[in-house]
Amino acid sequence: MTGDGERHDEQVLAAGLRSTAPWARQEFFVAAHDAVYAYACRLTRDVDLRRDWTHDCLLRLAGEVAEGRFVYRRPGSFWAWFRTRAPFVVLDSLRARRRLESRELSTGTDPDDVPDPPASDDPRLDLERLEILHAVNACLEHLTNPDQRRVLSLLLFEEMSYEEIAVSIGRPLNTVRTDIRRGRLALRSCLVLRLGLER
Amino acid sequence: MTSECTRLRRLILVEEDLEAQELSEVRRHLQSCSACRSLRDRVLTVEDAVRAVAALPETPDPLAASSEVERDQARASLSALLAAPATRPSPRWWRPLPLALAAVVALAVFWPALQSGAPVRDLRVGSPLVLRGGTPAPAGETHGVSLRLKKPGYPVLVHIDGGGAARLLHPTAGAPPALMAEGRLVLLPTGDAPAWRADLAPGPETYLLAVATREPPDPAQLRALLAIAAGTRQEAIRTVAERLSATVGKVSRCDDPSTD
Repeated sequence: MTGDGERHDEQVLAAGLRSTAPWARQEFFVAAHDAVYAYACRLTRDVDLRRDWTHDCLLRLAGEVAEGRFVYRRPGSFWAWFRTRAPFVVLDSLRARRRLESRELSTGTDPDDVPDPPASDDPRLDLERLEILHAVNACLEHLTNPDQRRVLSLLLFEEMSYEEIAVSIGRPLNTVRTDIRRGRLALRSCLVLRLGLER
Repeated sequence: MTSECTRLRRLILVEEDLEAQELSEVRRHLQSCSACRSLRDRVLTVEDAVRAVAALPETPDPLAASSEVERDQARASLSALLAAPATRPSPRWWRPLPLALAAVVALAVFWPALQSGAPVRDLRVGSPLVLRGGTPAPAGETHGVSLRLKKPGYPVLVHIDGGGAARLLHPTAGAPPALMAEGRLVLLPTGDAPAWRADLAPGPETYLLAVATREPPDPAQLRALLAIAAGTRQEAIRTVAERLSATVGKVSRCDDPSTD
């Protein structure tokens, strides 16, 4: 946001985040904060956790844009990416919290010291599902080829077709096909190992 | 797991991308092998879990259903975030360093070639008549730039003063961009009142010029070029040049020798 409170076009905002411009980070935080905070409110009653998860999510997303992991395609695509990506990041924080709580309980911590359990209103968000989401994120992170990581993120998180991906990143369709095939093999092989899917 | 499973595992995991012959081989194997079928189903279930996560709703007030206490807490959270972003560690700043160094070397090597591809010729600071000394300096022509377009277009001129503040000199605010003819001498900014020089920070001055050749540049996008964070003058020049290049086209730079 500029000094007079004017909001930038989202393409300019994304370019500003890419270059880690302070004005862009500030404008992004202001515009995105409440949506993430409201989502965190659905997952926990703990005020400190809501704040921490929201801050962590917004800082991570700004970092992802700075690392080139968001590809601007058309008007609306930045905020669509944000709305899709933010829940994964917050859920990753929820997963870390639940693991910590289960470890504290298993090591004999006084149950009175354990914080309130998350107040999630989504029964599908059990620990197993959170582990799955975390594993997908982690396996994507570990893909060594950035092109494969980028096309798979578009395919998985934004459900774009091969043709749309080729247009959006400006690469030939056959190259995109090859990157997807190799990336998919690497991602799924990683998931098989990490989640023990061969059992 | 059989040796056949081992051989086909790489194909099973990329079933969507297989050619017809590979696909029929995989399908035959999946029909007869419950272990591989089960593995493929588990992998697809994992990816379904990703797709099942609902996106944040698109709403003008995400906290509309929240209590006043929660809204207060949200405001406090945002204030804390805005107050302390600079204290967080900058993530992996060193990663792009080799690329940045390579870019600097490449720019130094290719800069003359890039310049020769600029859409203008005879680009210089001030009017050429003034520079030749054949005429008294009219107001407004000792600063700004003169140029000739190689083909018809809409020039965009940005000035960066000694403090790194950027001003859009052409097209001027409120005036629609005008198509300029090829080959004719153009002086920018147009008009004879150098009011734009009233509040300049002292020090060297730089002009950045680009020419839109297909359609008039969008005034809103041009204004957005100038929204730059506090930093050094060189950072301001680089930022504006990058945006100008992305928004309008190839950028030519002129440094005003009279202000060094």
